[in-house]
Amino acid sequence: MASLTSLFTALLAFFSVAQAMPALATGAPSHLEPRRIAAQAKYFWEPTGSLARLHYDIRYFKEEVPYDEHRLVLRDLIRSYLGVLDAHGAETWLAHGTLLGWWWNGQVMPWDYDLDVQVSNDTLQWLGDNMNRTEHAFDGTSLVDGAERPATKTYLLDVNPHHSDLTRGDGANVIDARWIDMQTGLFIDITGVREREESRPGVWSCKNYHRYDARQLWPLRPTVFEGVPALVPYSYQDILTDEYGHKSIVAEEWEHHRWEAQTKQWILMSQDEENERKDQAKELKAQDLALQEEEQEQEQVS
Amino acid sequence: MVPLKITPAYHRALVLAASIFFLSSIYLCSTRLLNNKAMTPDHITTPAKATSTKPVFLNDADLPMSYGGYDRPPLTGLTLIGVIPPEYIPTPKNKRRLVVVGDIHGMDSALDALLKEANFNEETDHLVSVGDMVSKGPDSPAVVARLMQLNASAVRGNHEDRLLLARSNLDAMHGVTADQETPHMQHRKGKSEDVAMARTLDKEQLDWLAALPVILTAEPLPLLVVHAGLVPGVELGSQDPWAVMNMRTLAYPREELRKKAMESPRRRDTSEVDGLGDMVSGEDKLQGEYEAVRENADPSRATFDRAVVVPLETRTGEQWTIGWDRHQEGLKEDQRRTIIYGHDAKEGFKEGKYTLGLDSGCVKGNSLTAAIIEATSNTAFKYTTVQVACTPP
Repeated sequence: MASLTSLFTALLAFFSVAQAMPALATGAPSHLEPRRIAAQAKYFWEPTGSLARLHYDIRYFKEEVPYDEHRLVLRDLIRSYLGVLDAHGAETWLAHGTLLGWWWNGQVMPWDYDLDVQVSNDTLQWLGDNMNRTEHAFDGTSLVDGAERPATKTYLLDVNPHHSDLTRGDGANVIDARWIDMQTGLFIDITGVREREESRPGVWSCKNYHRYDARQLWPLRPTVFEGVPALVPYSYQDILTDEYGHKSIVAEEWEHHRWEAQTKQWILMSQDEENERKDQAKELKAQDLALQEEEQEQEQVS
Repeated sequence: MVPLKITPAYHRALVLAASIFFLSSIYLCSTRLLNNKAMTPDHITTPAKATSTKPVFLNDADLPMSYGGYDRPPLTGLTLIGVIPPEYIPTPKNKRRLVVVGDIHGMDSALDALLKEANFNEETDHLVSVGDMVSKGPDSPAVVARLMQLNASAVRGNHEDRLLLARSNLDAMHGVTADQETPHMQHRKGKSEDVAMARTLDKEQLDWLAALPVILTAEPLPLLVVHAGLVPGVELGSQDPWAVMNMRTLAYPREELRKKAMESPRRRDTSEVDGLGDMVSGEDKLQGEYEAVRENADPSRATFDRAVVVPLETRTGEQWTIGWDRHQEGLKEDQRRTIIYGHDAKEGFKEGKYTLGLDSGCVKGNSLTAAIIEATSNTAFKYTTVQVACTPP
């Protein structure tokens, strides 16, 4: 028993040191320092301090965007991105949590920190060759004293120089490009999919090994997201349940939000409301269990 | 402070009380606990009796859930629901027939033979296709031309869907993607066959296909036509088009999560059964009605863990037709619907109580099947089937 405990402590110590190591080795990222020091130097950097902060680009981060504004910022992000890519005829489609938001009500889920889209590696190459580091103005909406006001925003398309790497490497550069809100630092992760493994023709994947059959993705389906034209994969339900399980397309409570059937919106719950709902659910379950017991007893009597 | 003094009388009373407590404990333990079936070895897996004091733990299987409660934006260029024109609906008076034919897949000569076998008469009969009219077989354009010429009704199958999407992708293509589009690229994206098939059809034929709905109703007959299936308990307007064109089986997410939590199934929650929850607390006369509905109720719906259903394209779940039949039994008679579908050549021609599968694998060299629908009243029908053998292409 004692040896087990000491082994556990040793493991803990090892992992904490191992985690701290890269930070020690590379130091804090800075605008002024050249970034491409080593082959696997991380290209995109995020501030630290909270989970939410990992979803800001460090170059444009000022402060965490409050809850009420967050949705507006993400909505303008995706609208501007889809508009600009369509203007150039570049094919892109919704992925991961953003696709899940479309599944429920065609909107960004209010607890989503960032947005996810995918492109083919050819499109990614074209973006890198032709549009890298371009800035784009967009007529969006800002919250001024609690009221929505028109605002011109600027976005940056930034392609990771590691975008054409075949493998995941050490995982520092799995995001191939970003569409960044230069006002807040919030962004869309753009990942390229390609036929990555020689042994699997017809199987497309991103660097993080999310795999798709070509016929799950194409032909893409035109639809609408956040009020603008968007594309989703052909077998959208399969792609969602492969990644997140059957639960993801039916559960009506996520991250302190509940699905409101009347308005078809995700509503943020207060801690009290959450507790209340939990108590109610517990009571219902207790009733069900008691009923079941009763039935079982009756069965046994007869 | 009065010092506590234990007199002999007090002592006797104490011993008596302790003895009574001890003996009643033994009695209660042996009668209550040991006779409890849950504690005997045979029932070791069933949970102990739930009382108000016993803590209840929630897990993912107890979350509020729904399938079909979403409000997804529509898929562009796709019609969800269409109707068979009322003038074609059979009644006892007009003696008309609906001839509903399974997956044709470009097998025009088989279709021709089937129509002859069914004594198809344009004056009195209306032809309906369950989708997958095109692809795989030798002559898709001829099949579409014949259906159009006969003024047939049809639903969009997964093969039409792919082909139409591939074509609309091509039409919408501009800029970068248009520059990069090559036959090789189309092949890599799994679109070659669909693009090639779309090229064999003329614009009029493509437009005819594009206008087809995913679900066809035949009001006032209690009959629906779809390509693959429908999810029981979800209203038509909320059915997911991808599922209607591709599904084969049903999964029950709560059951899966319950298993994962290593709990025994949670059976009843009346609030989950449509309308039943209100009736339970209602007056006595309603109580009788409640019992009646409950007896009739779909057992899968009344079961908490089966109340939420997800459609699957794979064969890993319960066959959707079994779930559909069971659900219909729990509905009032005037709300039950029979579905005619295709898509599943592996299951082949298949008759359920409220389902009729017509894909008998013509393009694989088996047979092409049609159901001939005739009215027995204004709101009821009967059917017979005809089949012809197919020569594999």
